[in-house]
Amino acid sequence: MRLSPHCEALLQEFIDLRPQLIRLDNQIFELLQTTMQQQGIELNSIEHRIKGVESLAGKLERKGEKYHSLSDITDLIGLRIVTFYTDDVDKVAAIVSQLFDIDWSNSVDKRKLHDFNSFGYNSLHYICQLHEGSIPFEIQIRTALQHTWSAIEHDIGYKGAVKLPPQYRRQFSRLAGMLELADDEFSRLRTTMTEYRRQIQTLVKSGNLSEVTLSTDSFRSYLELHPFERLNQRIAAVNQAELFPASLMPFLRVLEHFGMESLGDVQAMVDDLSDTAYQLALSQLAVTDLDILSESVGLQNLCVVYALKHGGGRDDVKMIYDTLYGANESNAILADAMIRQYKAIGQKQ
Amino acid sequence: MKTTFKEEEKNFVMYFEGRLDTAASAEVEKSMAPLYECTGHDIILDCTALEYISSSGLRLFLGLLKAAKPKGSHVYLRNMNEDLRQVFAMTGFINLFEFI
Amino acid sequence: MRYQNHLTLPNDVQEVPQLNAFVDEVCETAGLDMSTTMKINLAIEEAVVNVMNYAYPNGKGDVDIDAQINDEHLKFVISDSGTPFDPTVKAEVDTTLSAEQRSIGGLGIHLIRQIMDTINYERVDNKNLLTLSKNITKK
Repeated sequence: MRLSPHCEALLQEFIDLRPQLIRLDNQIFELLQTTMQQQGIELNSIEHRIKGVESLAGKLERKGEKYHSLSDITDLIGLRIVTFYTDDVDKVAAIVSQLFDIDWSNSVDKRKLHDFNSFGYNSLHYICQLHEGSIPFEIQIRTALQHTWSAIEHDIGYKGAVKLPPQYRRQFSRLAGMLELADDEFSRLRTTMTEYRRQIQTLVKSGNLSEVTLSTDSFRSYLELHPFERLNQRIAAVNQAELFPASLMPFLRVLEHFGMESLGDVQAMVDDLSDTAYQLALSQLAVTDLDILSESVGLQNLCVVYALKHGGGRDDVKMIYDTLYGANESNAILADAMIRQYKAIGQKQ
Repeated sequence: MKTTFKEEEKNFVMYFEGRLDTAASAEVEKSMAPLYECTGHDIILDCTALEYISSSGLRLFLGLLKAAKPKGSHVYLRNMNEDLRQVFAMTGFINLFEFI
Repeated sequence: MRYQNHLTLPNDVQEVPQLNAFVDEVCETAGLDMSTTMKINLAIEEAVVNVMNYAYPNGKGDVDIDAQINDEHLKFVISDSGTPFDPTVKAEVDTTLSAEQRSIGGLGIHLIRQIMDTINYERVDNKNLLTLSKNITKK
């Protein structure tokens, strides 16, 4: 490799500067990471590197005369922020433009260039400096799909001496188009889901439960209100029992089998049947000294009472256990026992 | 009733073979002593060869669970057959343990 | 089909395996499947162990187990001549003991209730009589 004296000098300057560059690189990285975390933006990754000596030498050899000083080379330090969603790219860009000084004349929004632009190259390239002044560095922002795509494209299309022939280039383009659509769709879907969840939470908190359709999301929100806590505590008081945490989500299927359609239906069950459910639990537990109970005890007894009060029989009670613990003939024995207890507390089927 | 204690990866495993009835439970209680020193380990009770369990056996399992919980250890019941799972369901214990 | 069998045991829980063998034989005669047999074994063990633990606080005594099979029921009568003791009623809980030490009867009774169709206690002629019955007609 032959470098002009000018380029040699630049290279040497770079080598001397490396320790400083490494410190600066880490500083920028930490700042980015902390800020993104604070802003609640989840990222796929933040990659960062100092240019290699060989790599710089090669660049200088090719275009060395263009660069008057080392600060004309903008990618001595390079960081790449990879997001999950397209709309996060803009959010991240906004944050980056606040954290650092942007050299807008040299920065490129390659997304705005359409012709011949491969999906993989749709990204933002910002040339930045610290507010207090520093050597310039490059920050690239793109989505995970774009990132993966560009790696694959590079591997298939540009590796080796043979360039991609035109007939395959079109296929490439189509695939890129699909991925771009997917990228956009993911963003849109995320926004919709966030909105939907927010609506459910509002409805649940406002108490208009009969308007909320029973679903996985709405049930989960409903559970955050701890609707069975009072009943559980009454039951636990029987034997001074400790309540063991348990997930109540499996009960959703039982409630759906009952034909419940809104959270209002579930709350009605709690309001109307808690006393009977307590009696049922009491009749089983009082003769034992079981002092540790699952948090599902209240809801479980509510379901049994509900089934029996609505004219159900052994099969309907068995259904509850089949749904919760897996279908098994032996669940019929459990169902029979429950029905006996129900009658024993003076209830008619 | 035969019990065997092993350490597998970072777990304390106890294999139960035979019938854990009232007669056997006194002995088994003693053999379960090492499981109580479980800080930093999870416990697996291997029930593949467990044929039967009565209330005294259930109490042993429960006692272990209550000791393990504050130490942050999970108690898993491995390969329990359907009949025995039913016993756990009848006593409500099925909600307290993790079955693998 | 009518069948009757009987077993007497001392109040020593180490005798429980003998009890299990007895119950197994009875259930097999009644044509019950393994699963049901195991559950009945469990219920009978709980009831008998209760007697062994509480009927004779001052020493030794026997517990009698009578088994009867007819077309509709399988019936066990567990009797002893110890202190009056009704296991279907919750005893005063000794709260100075931890749950593991307290009477194991409590959990056992719960299981018996789940498994057997009827459970009945009587005190007759200075004896405790506990009758546990299971319906065995095919539905």
